[in-house]
Amino acid sequence: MRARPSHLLVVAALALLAGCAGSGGNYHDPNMDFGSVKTVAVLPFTNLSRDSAGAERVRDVFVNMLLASGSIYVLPNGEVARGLNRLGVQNAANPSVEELTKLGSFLKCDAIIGGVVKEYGEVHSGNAAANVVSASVQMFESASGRVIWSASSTKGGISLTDRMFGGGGVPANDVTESLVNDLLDRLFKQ
Amino acid sequence: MTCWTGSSSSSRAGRAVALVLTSLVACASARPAGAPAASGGGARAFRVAVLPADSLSSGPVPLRAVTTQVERAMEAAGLKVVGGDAVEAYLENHRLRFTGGVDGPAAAAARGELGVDGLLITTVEEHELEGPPRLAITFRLVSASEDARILWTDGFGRAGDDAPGLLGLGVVRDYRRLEARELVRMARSLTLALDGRGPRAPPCPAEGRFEPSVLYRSPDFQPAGRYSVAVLPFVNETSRRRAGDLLALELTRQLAGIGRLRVIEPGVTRDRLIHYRVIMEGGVSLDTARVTLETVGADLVIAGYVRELSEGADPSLEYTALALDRSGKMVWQATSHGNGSAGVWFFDWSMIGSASQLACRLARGSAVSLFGEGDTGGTEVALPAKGGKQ
Repeated sequence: MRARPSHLLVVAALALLAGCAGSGGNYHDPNMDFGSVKTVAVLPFTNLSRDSAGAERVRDVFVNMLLASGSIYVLPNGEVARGLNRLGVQNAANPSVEELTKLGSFLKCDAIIGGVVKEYGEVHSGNAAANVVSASVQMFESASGRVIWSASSTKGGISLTDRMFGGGGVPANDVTESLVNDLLDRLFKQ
Repeated sequence: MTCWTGSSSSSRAGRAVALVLTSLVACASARPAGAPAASGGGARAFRVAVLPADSLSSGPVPLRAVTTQVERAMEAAGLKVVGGDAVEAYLENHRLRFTGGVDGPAAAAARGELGVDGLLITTVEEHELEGPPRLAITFRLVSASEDARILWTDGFGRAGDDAPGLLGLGVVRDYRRLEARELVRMARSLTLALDGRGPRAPPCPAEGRFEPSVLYRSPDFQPAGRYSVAVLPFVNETSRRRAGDLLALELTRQLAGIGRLRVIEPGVTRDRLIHYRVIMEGGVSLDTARVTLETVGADLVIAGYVRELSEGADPSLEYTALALDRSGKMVWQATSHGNGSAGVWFFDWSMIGSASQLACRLARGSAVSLFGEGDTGGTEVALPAKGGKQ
């Protein structure tokens, strides 16, 4: 049975749409009981974007929305900074396993979250411009320092409407909230 | 007998009339809920020391000139103002260089040395002489007592082109005119509060467009409770000087507008932080929060981060504020961002042209998201009694 050209077109279009959706990978440690994670510390995110404050903004929204979920308590950023200073962690965004376990016991948290912001800001294509935010996050178990959850997501960018009619797209903060929502969906909906 | 009965009934009627009259008199003299009770004589009997203005502005400010204008405006409103050399000598005696706040011992000393009931703290947030002039000032009246209570706080942020009107006829190009108009308004707000006829901390308008974009409030937190709150300076992550102090000040002002709260004077908090050598690198830690709560006797400590603060015709601001309770638990966190043109669709109607006003509105949104609307605008605080510590 031969596939009709129209079917092939539909499949190709769906594949394209899937590519545009911007959903990244996701990993959950199958042996981890996520219900036992009550308190987490969120480390400063690594910033790979052009905006020097991009990582802090994403981290801030991430902490706030994680708290707002009501499932997990997040330690204040200042307390995390104190822990990192006290333990002399050189690279706060990428601590070693040993540093993670020490930090976990110092801050008395069940898990530690770190992340990387890859894109934060405007992208241009022709006359169209829009905000795009891309980030990946990892959750480490405090006791062992191993990765128990990892996810990445990209939101925003230039839509078909932006291309056709112009416009500046959605504010960066709204895109960030959408991105963090997506990441938290991945965390809670295993 | 009839006569006796008649006498009795007329006596009862008289008593009823007297009761009604007494009630009416009591109602007439009753101050608005929460307004400060004047210590006899109201604003005209109130002696205030005007401290030299402090600047949170990004540019240079003629602080001496501003302070002089403030003194004149307060005098014109009927207050007994102590300023100039007497205040300079007092500051010198106590080695006070920072005039953006006052701590308890210094406030109490002002009563003895200057013979005042309160200290007026003036903080200039924006100052622009060129183009359409721009001026934003926040005032605080602090009691001259050991506990340095905030008796009144108000502020304004105005640009000459705030209300251009038809053909730009409403544009104010003269800085002096703008300054004089607003200082008169502030002096009136202060005298009304001292007379018990106005609110202690008139809040900024609460607008939906300036509510926090992301909000968390612990389900265990009781927003309707009576708390004492200390606001720490926000961590400044912008390139604008003292943006963190500006935000903390605006938040303090909006919280003071919630009558059931006791907001700690920022000068007291600052003094305690310096005394215990607390440095908030990277934000408030649990240790910092505990020290602050213990030393100033507060139930909640509020801190945060300012990520963006730009001034100009379309100002923008982004910050995160959080509240920690005595157990070190974060009970509230809110991220707010906004710009002056947010929600403006019809020409420039409802445009916010001053960063200070934007901060004020966003801070109001944050305060309401933490404590609810509540009994804004009033306080139970009475003015300090003459000659005694409160």
